[in-house]
Amino acid sequence: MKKQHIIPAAVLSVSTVLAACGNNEADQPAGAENEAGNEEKGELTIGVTPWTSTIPPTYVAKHIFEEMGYEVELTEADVSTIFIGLAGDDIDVYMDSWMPVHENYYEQYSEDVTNISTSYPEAASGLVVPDYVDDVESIADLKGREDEFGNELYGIEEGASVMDELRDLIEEYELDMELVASSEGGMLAQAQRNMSSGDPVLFYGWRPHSMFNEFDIELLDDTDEFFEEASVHVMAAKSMEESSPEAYEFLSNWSINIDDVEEMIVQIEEGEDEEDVAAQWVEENRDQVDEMMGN
Amino acid sequence: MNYFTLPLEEWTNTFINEWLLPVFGGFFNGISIVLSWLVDGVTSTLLFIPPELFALLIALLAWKLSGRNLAIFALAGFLYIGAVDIWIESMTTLSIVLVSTVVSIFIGVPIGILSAMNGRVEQAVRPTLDFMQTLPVFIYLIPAVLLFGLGGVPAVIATTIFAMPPAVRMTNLGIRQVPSDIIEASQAFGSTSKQMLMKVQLPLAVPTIMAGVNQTIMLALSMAVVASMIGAPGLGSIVLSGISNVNVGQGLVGGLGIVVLAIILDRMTQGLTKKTAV
Repeated sequence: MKKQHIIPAAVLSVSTVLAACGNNEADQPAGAENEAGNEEKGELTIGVTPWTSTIPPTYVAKHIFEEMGYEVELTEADVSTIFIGLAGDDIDVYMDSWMPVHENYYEQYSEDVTNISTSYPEAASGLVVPDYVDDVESIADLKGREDEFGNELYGIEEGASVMDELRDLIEEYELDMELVASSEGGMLAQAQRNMSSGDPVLFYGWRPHSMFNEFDIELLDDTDEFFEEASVHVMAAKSMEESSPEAYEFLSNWSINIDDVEEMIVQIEEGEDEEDVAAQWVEENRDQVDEMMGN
Repeated sequence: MNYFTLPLEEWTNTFINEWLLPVFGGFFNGISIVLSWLVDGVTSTLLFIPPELFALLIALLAWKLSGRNLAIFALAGFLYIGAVDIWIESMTTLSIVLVSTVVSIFIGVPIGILSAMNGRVEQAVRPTLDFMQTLPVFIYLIPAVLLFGLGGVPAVIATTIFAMPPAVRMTNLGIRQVPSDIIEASQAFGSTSKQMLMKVQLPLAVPTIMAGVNQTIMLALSMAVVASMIGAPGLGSIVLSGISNVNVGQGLVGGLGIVVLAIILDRMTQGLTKKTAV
């Protein structure tokens, strides 16, 4: 019983915010919007992984869902847990699924989870070295110079499919290197450690990521196209199509510019509030947002 | 409640990046080299011994320290480890646990003795231990990598921070628990405080200290999975890989390996504790 009182109140406050924002829907009085059936659109839960690239799209989506009249909750979890949550309807949306890195999860749960849209294609990834390492421009240049890098290549967590790719790469290029598994944080800490003493270091990097703003590093040329071009996708629970059709429709139209994402990552790392950064993006890209909302 | 701003975040980052790393980087590098030599040495020794021989030796030791049941369990446990093909990983984990335990004892027991002899030391040590035990492990994983690099070494450091407190506490407790009539008797015979410590207090405290060592080993094993996030090879890495792939079976395979090691080590050190008590 209590819940029924809360939801209209929340919708009301959302529509007040809408009115305050002065967007094109605000010409309807708040009450009329309620009568139009916008109330009780329900709750949406977005899964959030602890990666820098997840935050901007997640908060942009949250902002837009709230404009549409949903209540949005964010649940932080590990990517495997998020896929289990999507399959079990505990989580509705996940904004930062990397393909082909997350291919194995998607295959496992594709019965209940849908790859609803491509957030941005062409997210570059590959081997990264600091700028001060001379004469290493491509992966092939590493051959014969492995000892400069301590014969180690630093990767992310064991079990991620990119780790198998990196092992194949070492084999294919016949590099005398050992792949060291850890985690995003562990790998970056190791890279920072080597860079602080000016030593060469080789690790796995990808865009969008703030590492390219924080450190002077370059992505090595991948002449043999070893790394498949990654793309970032939005995953949604299949049940959403019925339970939250408007949000589902919006997600199926979703896309965002990779440069915008990287810019937002930097703003957030510089201490700006995630919600403000997202709101600002929505204001600046109102036309695109309207289009995605099907207006 | 924010009456003033505490820039703890910036302070810590500045401290680590602009002072600790440039000034003491070489020093930590030295520690790192010594420890990695130690971990690698123990690992390759353990792997050098043929698995069959190793299993038999541990079973015999288990029989001697604890009894026939543990010996049978140890044999069955090592058969399991061989059958699921995680021998190398188990030995790697064992070696990180052994090195961390030895480091914990080498640092922990003397601190325990000092704090038993001196009330002020105890007053300073106790909150430090509380801090070490309650600070979430993840917080010092990354600084451990910054200082010591990825691999077994930061794992040993992080494990030591986490597993040392019982060694200190139990040593302190063991010495303080020595009955005062025994102390008085040995004073009456004119023992110096050094003799008192070495010949009376420490021998009587050994069972309690051993209980602390047992706790240290158990805590060290429980760090195995977490340590794999900073590149420590071994059973933890199997479990982590299983978790991140939603491969429940693989997680269990590695997890049971940890359980086998834990039970053998636990019962053996408990047996040793009982033997020293007699």
